[in-house]
Amino acid sequence: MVDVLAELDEAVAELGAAVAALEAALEGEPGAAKLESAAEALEAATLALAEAAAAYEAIELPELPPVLALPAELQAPAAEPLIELPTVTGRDQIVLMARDPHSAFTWWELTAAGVGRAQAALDGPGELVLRVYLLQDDDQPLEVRDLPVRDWLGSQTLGLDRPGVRVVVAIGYRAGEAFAHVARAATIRLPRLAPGMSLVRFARPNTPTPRNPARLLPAETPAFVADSPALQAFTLGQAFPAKAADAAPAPMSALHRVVGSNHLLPAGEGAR
Amino acid sequence: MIGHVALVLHHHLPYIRHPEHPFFLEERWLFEAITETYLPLIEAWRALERDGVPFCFTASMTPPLCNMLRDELLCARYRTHLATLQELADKEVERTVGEPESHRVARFYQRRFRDLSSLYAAIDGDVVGEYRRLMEAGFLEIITCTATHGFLPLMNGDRGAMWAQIEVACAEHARHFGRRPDGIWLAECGYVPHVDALLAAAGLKYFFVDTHGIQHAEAPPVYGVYAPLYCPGSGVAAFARDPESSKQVWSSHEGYPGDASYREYYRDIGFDLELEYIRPYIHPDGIRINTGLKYHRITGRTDQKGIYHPEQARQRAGEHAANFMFNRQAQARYLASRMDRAPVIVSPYDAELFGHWWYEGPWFLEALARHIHRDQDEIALTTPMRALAAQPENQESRPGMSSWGGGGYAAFWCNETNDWIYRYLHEAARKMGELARAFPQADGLERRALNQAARELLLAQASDWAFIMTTGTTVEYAVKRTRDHLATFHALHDALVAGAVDAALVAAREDQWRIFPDLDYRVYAATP
Repeated sequence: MVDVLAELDEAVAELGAAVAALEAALEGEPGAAKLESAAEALEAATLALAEAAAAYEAIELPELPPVLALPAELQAPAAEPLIELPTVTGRDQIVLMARDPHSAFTWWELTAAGVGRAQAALDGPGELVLRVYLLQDDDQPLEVRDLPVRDWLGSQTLGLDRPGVRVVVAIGYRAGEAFAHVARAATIRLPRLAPGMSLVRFARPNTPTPRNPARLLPAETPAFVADSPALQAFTLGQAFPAKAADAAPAPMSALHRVVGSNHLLPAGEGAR
Repeated sequence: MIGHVALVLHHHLPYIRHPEHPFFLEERWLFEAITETYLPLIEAWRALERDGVPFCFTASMTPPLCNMLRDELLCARYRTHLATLQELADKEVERTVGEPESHRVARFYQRRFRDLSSLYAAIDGDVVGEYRRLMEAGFLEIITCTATHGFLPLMNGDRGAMWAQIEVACAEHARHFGRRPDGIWLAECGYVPHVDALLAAAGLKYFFVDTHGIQHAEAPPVYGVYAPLYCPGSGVAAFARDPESSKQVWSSHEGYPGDASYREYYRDIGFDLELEYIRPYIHPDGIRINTGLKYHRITGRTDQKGIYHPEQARQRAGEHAANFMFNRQAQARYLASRMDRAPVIVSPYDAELFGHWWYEGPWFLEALARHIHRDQDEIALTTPMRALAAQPENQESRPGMSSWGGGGYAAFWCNETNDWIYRYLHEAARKMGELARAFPQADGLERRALNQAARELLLAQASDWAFIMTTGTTVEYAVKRTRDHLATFHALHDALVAGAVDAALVAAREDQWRIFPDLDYRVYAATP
């Protein structure tokens, strides 16, 4: 999968270079040989792209449900009107970050040149889409789905609902079955909702030592001298009706077996 | 000992300093925290020290907070603030003469502010210096935090940006505390896998994650959250929050701070008394604000609040401390029977919870240390470095991405209220890296401009702004700060690229944002 995408990348880049070379030949001093050479290069690049696109389309993907988009009211609004800040950087880019086990956030920027290159690779102008790839650890796709978007400058929260999965997103143009991307983000992994299956092993790295271990808790401590009057009458472990925590801590009954060990420990319940 | 309890207090406030305004409302966050949290904590620790009670707490002190606590202007303003509080308390003692119950509370505040004023004078107005003294005396293990409380999981994996947040913090810690830190509190416990390699490069030995960070680690954690994990490759230890002890203090419903005896935070004479009377002690525009004088106790779920009794509240804090210890003992017994080592129960809290939100919190901590020392021999207070020294062999596994914020991951800092900032933050961080590489040996004005550009970027990255945008309080200020720092960053960037740095702009910004005086922009070109 990754190889095919890389070939597609390369073919798109070659096509862009060929277009640029042809434009340069047209703008420069007239010369039939130069033009002919540029036209040949363009033809070769177009053929290479067609082959790469065919290879991509040949990948068999399982029939999977569409990537869930968040409800409209939860979608990111357009960027705030920050007049003082340069909104456009002049670079084709897309960024993807994990928000939680179920969603990721992406922002992107496209340039006219980048869009031109992508569209040149297609038969028609195509439709601008976010293409989201959910990948297994071996880069095999779990899902590939397209989300239509409108703007060259935008952001979106992606509801993915696949904890622990690896995700990559590309933005580009789709025409029929063909897709030419303008920019692609780095691969991320959504947080897991359970421990992974790596082997349990122990280590003793660097043997950390406190700077002043003897001073943290002196072996010989002075006798307790005084206490606030309010504390003097208190007896340890006395009835404590105001709170439910008198007995053993409640979550202690909720046990889960730890894979690969003989220990049983409470699963615990997060309290934020 | 069958178990250890590591109490961790995270001290942080965003860097707010506005010399251009004689009164700036958000600066009062610092003043309130000094009065209600930092000085009372120092008072409690000094009392323990005086009485020979051994104790050890872990305190994370963020660079913005340390810089503000040592800022000449802010310290001067704080002294005025404290004097005003004393004046108001004196007036209240007179006003409440005919109301015996309220009068007793007024006299309590009169005494309290005088005591705090004396304490502030006794430490020469240097809260950071006193923390350092307590560290050097072995009572506190002080650690750092990301430089401006930058939330690493949303830095798009930009190693340069993350490294700057880590390394600048460590250097700043050394400036304040005389040594680089052993540990770091990742802002909002925001851990993203592999950032531990950068922590190791900075010489850090441990950090904290929320409970599920370890529960969802790469390998099943054999001791749950009751022993640290070493991150593979880096060897940096991750300690996780114990959910049980957290809930007992944090929960607004079940937690100790909701007890009926405790001071009611939401009733303040800034709102309750006649406007003309209280006017000199609120916002100069006549806007009512909290003064810090509160006469009521929580009482219950009613608007009819009873009058506060400080002595009863302090007694209750002692009872709660004993209960907290009792439960940790039970927890340690349970865990020890199932582990081949003494469990380490990590209980981290925002320091400002103690005193500011939970007025009796510092009394609780003092009483807890006394109870643990005096009344049992099953559990002991510890710190992460001490725990690692006692048990250097630990499981190796990498925690999962996590935070301790709402939802447990990054959504609290990346949602429809604030996600617009990331496009700009990422781009500015990329450009800062380019600048650092393009100007490897700058000096003079150029160097100052580069340092200021780095400073502006770091300040823009503070997680506080995104946090405030989500919570919906003082959003305008958070947006303004984000925009202001980024706009200035771009102005400096463009001027440096064009070779036309505006000396007046650099000087003005250096003067206003006096954080990181030793900052070296080349940190952005030296990512390990």
